[in-house]
This record gives sequence, C-alpha cells and structure tokens, in this order.
Amino acid sequence: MEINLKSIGDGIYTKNLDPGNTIYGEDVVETEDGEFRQWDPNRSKLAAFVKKGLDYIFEDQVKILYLGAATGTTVSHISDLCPRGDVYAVDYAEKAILKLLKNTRNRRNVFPIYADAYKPWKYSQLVDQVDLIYQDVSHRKQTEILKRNSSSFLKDGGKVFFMVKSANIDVTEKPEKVFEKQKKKLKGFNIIKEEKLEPYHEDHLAIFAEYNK
Amino acid sequence: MDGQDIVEENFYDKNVSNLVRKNSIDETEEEREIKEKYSLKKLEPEEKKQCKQKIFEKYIHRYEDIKKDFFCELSEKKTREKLRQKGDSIIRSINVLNDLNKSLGLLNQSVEEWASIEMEIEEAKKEEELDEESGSGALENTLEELESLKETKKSIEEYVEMEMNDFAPNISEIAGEILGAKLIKRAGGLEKLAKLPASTIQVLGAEKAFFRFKRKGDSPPKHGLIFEHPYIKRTKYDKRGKIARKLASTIAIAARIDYFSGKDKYEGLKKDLERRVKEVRGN
Repeated sequence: MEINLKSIGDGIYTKNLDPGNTIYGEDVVETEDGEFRQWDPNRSKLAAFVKKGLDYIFEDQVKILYLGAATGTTVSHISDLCPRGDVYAVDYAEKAILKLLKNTRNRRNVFPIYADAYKPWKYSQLVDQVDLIYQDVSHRKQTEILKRNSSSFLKDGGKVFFMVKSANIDVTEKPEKVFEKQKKKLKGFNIIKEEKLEPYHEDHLAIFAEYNK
Repeated sequence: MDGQDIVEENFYDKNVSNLVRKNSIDETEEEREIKEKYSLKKLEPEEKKQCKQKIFEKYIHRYEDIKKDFFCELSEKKTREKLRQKGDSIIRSINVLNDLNKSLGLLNQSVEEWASIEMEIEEAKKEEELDEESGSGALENTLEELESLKETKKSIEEYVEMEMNDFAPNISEIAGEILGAKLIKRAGGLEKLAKLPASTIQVLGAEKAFFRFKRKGDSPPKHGLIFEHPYIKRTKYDKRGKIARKLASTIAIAARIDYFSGKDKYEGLKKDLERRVKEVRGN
C-alpha cells in the first residue's frame, strides 16, 4: 500500500495535498501522517476500481494525461497520490474547466488544459510524453479518443486506465456486447485487469492495460 | 484545418508568447553570482557539484511555479474567450428573461383575480360600516413585488440590448436586440446561427408546427420566433409569409457578417429589406 493511500474503516482515503481544502465536501480525517480525504467510490470511478481490487501504485514522478477531467474530483485524488508527478487534465466544457481551475488552484502538480480530447494535435505543444493515460470522457467515440491520445503521447509500455460507459456508446445494445466490441477495438493494448464497477457505477467497465506500440 | 482552427491557432500563438514574456525569469544578484562562479570553472569538484545542485533546485522550483501559472492562465483565457465567442452571457440572460416573462404572465393573472375578490370584500365591509383593520398587507406586498419584477425585467432587457449591440451589431440592427438574442439562444450560439440556412431561421421556434407539417402534411409555418419583428407583426396575415422569407434571409446574412467579420455592414441590408417590405405591403 502506498503511504498516500489509506483504508480507514470501510472507506479509502488519500493524503490531502492541499490541506484545509476539500473539493466536493468529502470527509476529512486527521492522522499522524497528516490530513486525509475520503475517496468516494460512488463519485470516482478509479476509487471504485481500487475498491474492487485494483492494486496499482503511482510512481513518484509519474506523468499522467487525464482526459475528461470535469470539475476535478478524481483528478484531485490522483494529484494526492503522486505529489511529485505531473497531471495534465484535459476537458472541453467551459464551466467544468473554470471549476477545475478553482478547485486545483493550490495543487502544483495539476495542469488544466482546455481542449477537445478528440483532437490531440491541438494540445500537443503542451503535453510531454506521458507514462499513463486516464480516460474517462463521456463520448460516443471513447475508444477512438483513447487510441489517438495513446499514439500521440503515451510512451511504449505506458499504462492506461480506461473507463467505458456503455450508455455513451450505444444505449440500445446490452452493456456486455458493447464492452466486448470496445475491447476488440483496443489493438495494441494488453489488458492487465478489467472489472465492472457495480454497485458503485452501473454499466461501467474499468480497464487497466499496457500499451505496446 | 477549418477556419475555426486557424482562428484558434492564432489566438494561441499570440497568448503563448505574451505569457512567456510576462513570466520570463529575472535573475537576482545571488543567482547571477552562482552562475558566474559556475562558469569560471575554477571550482573544486565538490563545490561544483553543490553549485549545480543549488542552481537546479532554484530553477526547478521556479520552473514548476511558472508552468502551473502558465497552464492556468492559458486555460482560463481560452475558456473565457470561447464563452465570449459563444455569447454565453447573452444566452444566459435571455433565459432569465424568458422565465421572467412566463412567471410575470402567470402572476399577473392570479394576482389580478385575487385583487378583484379582495376589493369586493372591502366594499362589502364598507357597506356594513365595520371599522376593522383589513388584511395583513399580503396583497400590498405582492403588488409591490410584481412592480419590482417588472423593473427587473426592464433592466435585464437593457443589459441584453447593450451586450447585443457589442456582440452582434448587424443582427441587432436587422432583427432587434431581444429577438436577435432569442435567435442566438435558440440556435445555440452565434456560430451555429451563422451556419444555419435562412429557411431554418425562418421557422426557428416553430419546430412543433414545422414537424407537424413534415409528418402529417399540415400547412407549413410561415414564421417562428421572427414573428415578433414589427415588419411581420404589423403586416396583413396573407402577406406575412413573403416578408418572413426576406427577413430570415437578411438575418442569416447579418449573422454571418457578425460571426466572420464583426463589422457594421447593415446599411445595405436594411435598405434592401425595407424596399422589399414596401413592395409586398404596397400591392
């Protein structure tokens, strides 16, 4: 277990990088290691994935490209987990970005980018090669977005967190069928672990994979 | 790359160079000293290493700060620019205005009924010559509130007019500020309005009637939101269709001018529109 991640009672907690401030009114616990914020699996898909048995430790200076940052709930917890890393948080909704900017003002490792994740060339000047891509964009072409960004930014052997929401891709199809189809499209990705996020998020599949060019 | 992309790219280049200039590092005395010392290369290896470390720490810290500020400023600027481009404040204020109109209509009706009944009771009391204090003042308060709501509506309208004259001068001149704002809202932004064909602008806001026409073959709507325009409102029923067509096409051109150049070029458009209205009304 990482030092920045703790389980206390039922919940999991991350060490607050911005002590005294919370993002969405989450629980805060004071311990001898500092202030810890509760990571709600009902709100964050990564938290649900961790709850469901994901065992992954963020490296110290990991560079992360986060697509679909929204207002910064999960982003803030990832920034807690890698205080010396870089998190490039991309989103294309004006209101969300403004909130994200406000929420992560004191987090020196979060870099908000206002851009369309479907057009990675628009922010290629801003982002380095990254070690990890976290993709949680609500978009019909989720998988295509992941592939485009991976080929532009992800280094060989880099890791991918991919949250598939079946309703985004096809509401009429059964979730299982949608998941199968999307997985078939993921050429070049070695799936290490996949997990459905019930009961925290319905009809969601979390995929953790390795990318080989 | 489409036109929008190029506009964005230019915006991007301009702002990046500005930000870089603004954030460029000013050396302090101490730093210059360290640098000079380092460049002399007369240092012992141990000292050299320390110096290197010192410089690295100094700069890496600053670099990170600058990077964070740079990203924040850039994203905020781009976002605000986009919101302005979309006419976000106009769309939001016109939404409030619509809601306010609806509630004012409802309130007017129910308050009027209440007031008339209250008056009857009052009169009945007077006839019986009772000297009781009547009511709790609730009606008076409501009437006051209603008046202040009307004031609010006026001030919002003024705000929309001001914003529209700045944001879309050509549409404002041809369609009027409030109607123009409503059209922008209905289309979902100036960009989208500029890309709509005139025939769609003509029936914007009459979607229900339009799709009834498509499905069941009822008669098509002659006008949607643009009915509000005095040129249509104040024309005889059977001639409204012709004017609606002309007005819609003129608004479409105005929207395109506003979106792509932003200059005031409405003189010719207005003359043309007026001529056509006269022609149609004349027969």
